[in-house]
Amino acid sequence: MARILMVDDDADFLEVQSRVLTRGGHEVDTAYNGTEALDVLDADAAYDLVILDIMMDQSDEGFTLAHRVRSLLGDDASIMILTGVRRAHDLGFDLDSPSGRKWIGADDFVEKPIAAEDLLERVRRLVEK
Amino acid sequence: MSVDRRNSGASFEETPRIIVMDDEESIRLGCEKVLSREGFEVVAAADGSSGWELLQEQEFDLALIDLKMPGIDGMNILKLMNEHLPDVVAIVITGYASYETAVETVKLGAYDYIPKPFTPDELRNVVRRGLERRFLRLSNRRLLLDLTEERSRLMTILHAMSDGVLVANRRGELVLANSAGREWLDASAQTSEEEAPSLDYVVAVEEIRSITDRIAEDPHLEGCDEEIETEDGRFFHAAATAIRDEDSGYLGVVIVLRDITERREIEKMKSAFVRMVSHELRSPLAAVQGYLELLVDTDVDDAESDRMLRRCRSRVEALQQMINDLLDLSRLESGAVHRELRRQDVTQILEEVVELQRGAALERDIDIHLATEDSLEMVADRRELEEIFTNLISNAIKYNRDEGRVDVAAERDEYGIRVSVSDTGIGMKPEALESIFEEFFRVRSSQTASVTGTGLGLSIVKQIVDAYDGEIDVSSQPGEGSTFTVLLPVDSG
Repeated sequence: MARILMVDDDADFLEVQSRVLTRGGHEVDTAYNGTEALDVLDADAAYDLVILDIMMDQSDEGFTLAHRVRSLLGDDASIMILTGVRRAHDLGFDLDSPSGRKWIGADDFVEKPIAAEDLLERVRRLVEK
Repeated sequence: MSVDRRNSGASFEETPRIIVMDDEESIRLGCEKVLSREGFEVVAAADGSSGWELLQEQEFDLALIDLKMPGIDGMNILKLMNEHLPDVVAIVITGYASYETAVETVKLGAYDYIPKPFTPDELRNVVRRGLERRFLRLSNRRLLLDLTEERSRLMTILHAMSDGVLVANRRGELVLANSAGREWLDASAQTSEEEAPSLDYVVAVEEIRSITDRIAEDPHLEGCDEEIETEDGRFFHAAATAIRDEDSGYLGVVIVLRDITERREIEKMKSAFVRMVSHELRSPLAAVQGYLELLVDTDVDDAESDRMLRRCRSRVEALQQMINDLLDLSRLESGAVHRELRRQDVTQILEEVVELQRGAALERDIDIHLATEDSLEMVADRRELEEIFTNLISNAIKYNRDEGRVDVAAERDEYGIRVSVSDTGIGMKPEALESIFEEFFRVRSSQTASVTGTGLGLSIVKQIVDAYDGEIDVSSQPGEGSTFTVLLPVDSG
């Protein structure tokens, strides 16, 4: 269905969610931080969707990564930010405001924790767009 | 009792002392007799000169003065007393009582007069009234002294306060400011455009004026609290209280300014810490929950379910460890640690810790080498030394490569005992080195993804090392390894 790159610093979270997505028929690769994600994308940029957390090694690494991904993959690929909205707010990003979302440049914002069905539904909507 | 009668009007701490100046011996003897019986101490002088000398040499409460005496006469004694001894009550004894004389002596400072001849009763009455006068003068003086002392004491207290105190009248003009308050106004007025004269300070400082205006306009407002941010980025809490008279008429306002910059800083750090803790607690729970859902809702083979359950166990154990570490850390930070300080052999402790860690090292074919002097002694709490060494050595194993090597070395130098732990592991980038002792900081990459840890171990090590006035340093090369060095002063503890 879709090729997805998932970036998160929690190995178990990556494993659980990639199993959920694989079960949903998607092809999933994973990376633990921004640098590793960019390495993956450098080698092969043919992803339909990148799912990433805001908080990784450095506090706002996810945001930098989102911008890099956008410039690497262009508008064809989608970006989903999977994170705690309140944490983003603490970092100075208002995920509830449209302008804030636009500035970050992601297509969807999903709060952790997320139920398997919910994640699959969100991914389906992004990929079909 | 005669003493009781004396005390009926006024009371003295000591026996009242009276001097009688008269050249007539019968008057002197008569006065001495009558007044001694009243319980007073009486001294007599036969002429003005010796009387004045006695007055200067000794303390008297009251003087009975004959106007006509050899030496210095009564009028001159009155003048001298008025000038030099205004608190001693003077009563004039006069043989030619006339209204004019009385007026003149009173002008010169006499309190009363008694015409000759007088009866013992008349004498007692006039002396008693005079002593009451004396007592009043003394207590008034004391009251006055107390008042000035009280006032200066209050001002001293006010100025010593670290909080700023400002008092404004009903027009919002400054009527009182303690030192801290004035400093605050000076700092705030400097940043305002107009150079404000001192009395208009309160009006000139916008935030204060808005407080005084609000209270002045609302007769029911008893006070208000404001937070004021100054231009240099400090925060003040301003507590204003309205001053009203009995008829609720507005008199002014008292404003107490307290610097809460540090308190706010601490609160900010505290809530940041709470957010971090909740995130760190939520992540392992989310992982466990995710695995359990997979196990329950999907078909996984035995090998996979076994692996998932092991991951669950490992995350739950890490969660448990994190809670223990958090409690340790909070005890260390609050200083509520019970230390048992004894002479410890650092070499021996290192040997034991290395032995305990050898199992974990062997699993990944990692060699641990210990190089130390025979005996390195210092006074410390044994558990705390074990905690430091265990954390450093277990990190050196966890973040090592398979078949790597851990070198533990201990030696004494001029500063104390130096223990270093080196590994041949993944190392750290310079950016990571800056944050390595922060709570929950962990280097996260695919290389560390399988390493469980709380991110609190090094914070705990740092706290303990600090408690011993020691130092901890780290050097690292990405891909080659890291070395942690702890210096523990030997004479500390």
